[in-house]
Parts: sequence; C-alpha cells; structure tokens
Amino acid sequence: MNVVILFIYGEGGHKAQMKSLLKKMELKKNKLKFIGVCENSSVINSLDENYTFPPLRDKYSNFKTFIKLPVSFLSYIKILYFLHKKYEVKAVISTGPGIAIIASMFFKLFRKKTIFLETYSRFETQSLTGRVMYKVADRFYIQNKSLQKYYPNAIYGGLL
Amino acid sequence: MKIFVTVGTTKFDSLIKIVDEKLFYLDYEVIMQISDGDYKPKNFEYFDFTNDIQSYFLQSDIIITHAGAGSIYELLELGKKIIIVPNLDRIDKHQSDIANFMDSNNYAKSIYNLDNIVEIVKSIENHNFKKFKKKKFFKAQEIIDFIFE
Repeated sequence: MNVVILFIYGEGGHKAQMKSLLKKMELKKNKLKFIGVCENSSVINSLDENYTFPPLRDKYSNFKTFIKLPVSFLSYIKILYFLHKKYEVKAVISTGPGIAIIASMFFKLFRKKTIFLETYSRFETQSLTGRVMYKVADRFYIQNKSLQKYYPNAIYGGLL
Repeated sequence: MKIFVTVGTTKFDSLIKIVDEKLFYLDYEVIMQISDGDYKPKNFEYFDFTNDIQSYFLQSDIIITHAGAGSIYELLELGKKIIIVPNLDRIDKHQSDIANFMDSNNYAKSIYNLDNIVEIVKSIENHNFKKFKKKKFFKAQEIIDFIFE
C-alpha cells in the first residue's frame, strides 16, 4: 500500500503557511506521497494528489455555516474514510482551520501521528483550533515565541 | 507619494470607501485592490485581484493593508511603511492580534478607527519604524524525523 502524509489546510493564510511548509519538506521527501485535503478553491499544485470539498464556513454568516454543517461534516468524513482505506496514512499535518480537528481526531483513532502548527498571525491570543489541537496533536508547533506562555509544551519553529 | 491599499481575499468595503472619500482631497497617488467588494472607488484606480501583488507593493511608498499575516510579513520583509487596518467587517476578529503586536513593537502602524486615516497617513511619512527580522521556519527536518520515528 502507498505510504502517504496528509496535509489539511484552509484558504488564505492557512494555505500560504502550508505552501511554505511543503516547500521546506519537499526537499527532504523520499518515497512518500503528499496528499492535500482542502476546500476546492485552495488546491496547492505541488502536492501529489488533492482531495477537495466545497467551502464549509460562510465568512459573513455563522448561521449559514451552522445550517450546512451536518452535510459538510458527513462529506468530509467520507473523504477521510476513503483515504484511510486507500492508503497507509503515516501522519496528518495541519495549519488549521477548525476542520483540522476532525481530520486529526479521525486519524488518531487509527493511531496515526498528528502534527499541528498554530497560525503565524497569533502573538498574544490562541486560536480556537489551536486550543483544541494543543490537546489532540502529538506535536504542536508555534511560530511566535510570545505564544510559549499559552502553550508551554509547544515547540517553537520560526515563521513559515 | 504613492499609496497602495490591499484587502486580501475578503472584501472590506468600509476601508475602501473611506480611503476613496478622504484621501481624494490630498496629494496622493492611490491604487486599491478591493477583492469582491460591493463599493467601487470613484476617485482612484482599483482592481479585484492580481497574481503579482508584489509589484504593487514595490512601487508604493505606503501600503494600507488588512491585517492578513501573509501580506504583513511580506511587506515587512520588503521594508515598506505599513498601515494595518484589522478587518472588523469579518465575523471572526482574529486580525487584531497581529495588528496589536506590530503596532506596539513599532514595526507598523495599526488603526482601529477609520476616521483617523488621514492623520495616520500624514504622520507616517516621516515616521521611522523598527526593522522586523524574520526568523525562518527551521523545523521541517524535525517533522520528517518525527513521522518516521
């Protein structure tokens, strides 16, 4: 079975950070396949394969997001389950947003490694996803040193 | 004096409108990137998106930007004078964290009340900012090692 790493990310800043991380990891990649799971507008072309879904969050309305949630959630789980069946997933890496929690917890059930990078836009506040992922992820990285006081066990890694 | 305004991927009509109305009477050359904004500037050149935003950054003296971290870090690396305006039109208010940090450390100027925009633009012309040193991500190998551990 093909050995793969999953990259879970969102639009805008989440994508920009993942792109930067991929560039740095790409150089050191050996026989692995890199697979992206993201919204259909955010595909990164350097990935070997991409699995996409329609945008989950309505940036202008929490209500619309909430209404669509059950359907979005199910189609997302379907993608994760498909990937789990098709590949030997070695690890799940994410730069957020919240959907990363679902993917990380899903693969944690199968004892896969989970890695999360708190967003580079945080200095003195924690993202909601960060708070949860700090408890879920096996490795948790921060990009700004000022966050260490909120995440004592996080690893400082510099800016993506 | 050339000013470039950028809102990133999320529309920010209140910023575009106030720049369009208030900077018009002053002696500035302004170009604006407005995303899918509903307000279309009447007094200045504008466009929705570009694949080469850096060339606009490079040819401008002052950049007024939403508080998107990607834009801010890129502008800091280019050594530009930056006015950060957190997009409070959005539901999530996460943009104020980076705006506060950059302002309190004198890497950029942040504004929360758009009515002050003219004064801020004027004051920034002769303001000296501290140079931001980007510590690049250095843990890629460690992540790979951890995966194969």
